[in-house]
Amino acid sequence: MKTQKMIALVKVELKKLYRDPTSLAVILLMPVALTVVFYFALGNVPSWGLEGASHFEFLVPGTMGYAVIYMIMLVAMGLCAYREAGLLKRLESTPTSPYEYMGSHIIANLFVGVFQGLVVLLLSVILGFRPQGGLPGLVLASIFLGLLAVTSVGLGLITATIAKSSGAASGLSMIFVIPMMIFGTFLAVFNEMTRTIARFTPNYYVTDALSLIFNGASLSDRIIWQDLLILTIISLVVVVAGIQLFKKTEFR
Amino acid sequence: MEYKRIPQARNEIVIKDLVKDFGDVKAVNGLTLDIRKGELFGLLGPNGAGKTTTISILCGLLAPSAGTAHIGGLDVTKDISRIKERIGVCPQEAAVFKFLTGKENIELFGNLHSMDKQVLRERSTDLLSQANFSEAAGRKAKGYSGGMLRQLNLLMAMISDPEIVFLDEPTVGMDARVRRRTWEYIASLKDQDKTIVLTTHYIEEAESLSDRVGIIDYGELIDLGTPEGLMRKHESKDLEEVFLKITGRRIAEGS
Repeated sequence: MKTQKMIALVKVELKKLYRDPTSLAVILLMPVALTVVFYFALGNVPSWGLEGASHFEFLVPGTMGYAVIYMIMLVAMGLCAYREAGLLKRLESTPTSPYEYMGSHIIANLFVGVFQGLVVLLLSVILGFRPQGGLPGLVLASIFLGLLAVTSVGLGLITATIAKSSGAASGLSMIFVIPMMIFGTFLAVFNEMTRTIARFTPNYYVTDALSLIFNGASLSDRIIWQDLLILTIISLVVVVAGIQLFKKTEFR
Repeated sequence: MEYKRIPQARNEIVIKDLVKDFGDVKAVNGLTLDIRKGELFGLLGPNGAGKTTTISILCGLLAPSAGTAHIGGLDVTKDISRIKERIGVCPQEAAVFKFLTGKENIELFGNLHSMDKQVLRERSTDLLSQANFSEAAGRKAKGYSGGMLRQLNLLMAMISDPEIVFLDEPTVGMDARVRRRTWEYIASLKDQDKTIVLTTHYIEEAESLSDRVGIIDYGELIDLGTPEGLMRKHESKDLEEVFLKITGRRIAEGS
């Protein structure tokens, strides 16, 4: 893989995000708006799952992951739009390998995912959330967010493989986004049944680990590292499947 | 306008018994063709004749169903990575990143060909200046007219200074002035010893630019020669008349 090609392609993806108002709204305004809404709606409501905290504070770790999962839709729609514009074929006619191309998507979105999660965290801190864990906790949280971003790119690639147009990709991505939103974010610890279902969603492991990190658990807590291991395996499986499926349909 | 010159004798592109099936449809049907190094070869044919499919196979975008194709001695089914380093492709549709500026689009494709940064900057500046595109290059492609997108499409193919260039209907949608300037630019590429494969629906374009012309229909080569040679052979006043005679006759035969 050539670094020059990858850097050039990563820059393209990042420029697309900040130059396109829709993409910018999804990556930035959506998590900001959601955090603010949760603060005003749940800032004074005692938490169902965390003693002595507001439900807003309880939801912050899940919201950080939730901000990332919309990347599935963005990646899928973006790739379908490139396909419709003939850009994928054009890129294929250059000496750029599918791995360099899709690798650049993963790298660009990894940065974006971590950024989105940290925006939610920063805003929550401004609104009164007091996370524990210090800098090591923040670094570990960023790793979780990065892995979730990689998983989201993989799911985006799978969606783009199936979807015939960017419009279809938007709807189809909800197959992944909605269960992750409901079970992985908001109902993860509602009861044992929802927790069991939630274990099938990648962002559950982010919600679970970040909740532990920010609520003062030791960073050597076995559950955190177990979550990290499971999320790493999920992200690898999903992204490899996504790359293989997309490569098979779009690249020779 | 007279752009022609005598190309060198060595074959740069060698196509032998090439076939491409899409289910029951044979888009390319036993095409055999040699294109010489330094030659500007016009590939003509009615819509659906197999021109774009042939170019797609040569660029590694489609796998042939049968037959062989070599570019610079390299097999398109085995050495496509090395071939892609030597070719520039201007696709039929203006495939550009609309959220990037013209210059950013051009430089992206230079980076994808691993060009040296300094060389890329210089070549990009020269190319934009030659095409009279420097002023527009700083603006996002989203605001370009159809003709400007076409110009950019061509410049993106040329940034890596490729030895072999595939131009698939490069001037569609350009106004007469820009089209004429683009023809002059394409003609100037021949002086740089580039091998150019041009498909076009503007027969006048093929007549004035091409050293040789191949006319294909139903995926088969139906005639081949210099524009003058074809006009003499078919007792026609121009290449358009030749084209209509040959392809019209085939339609009549087929019906």
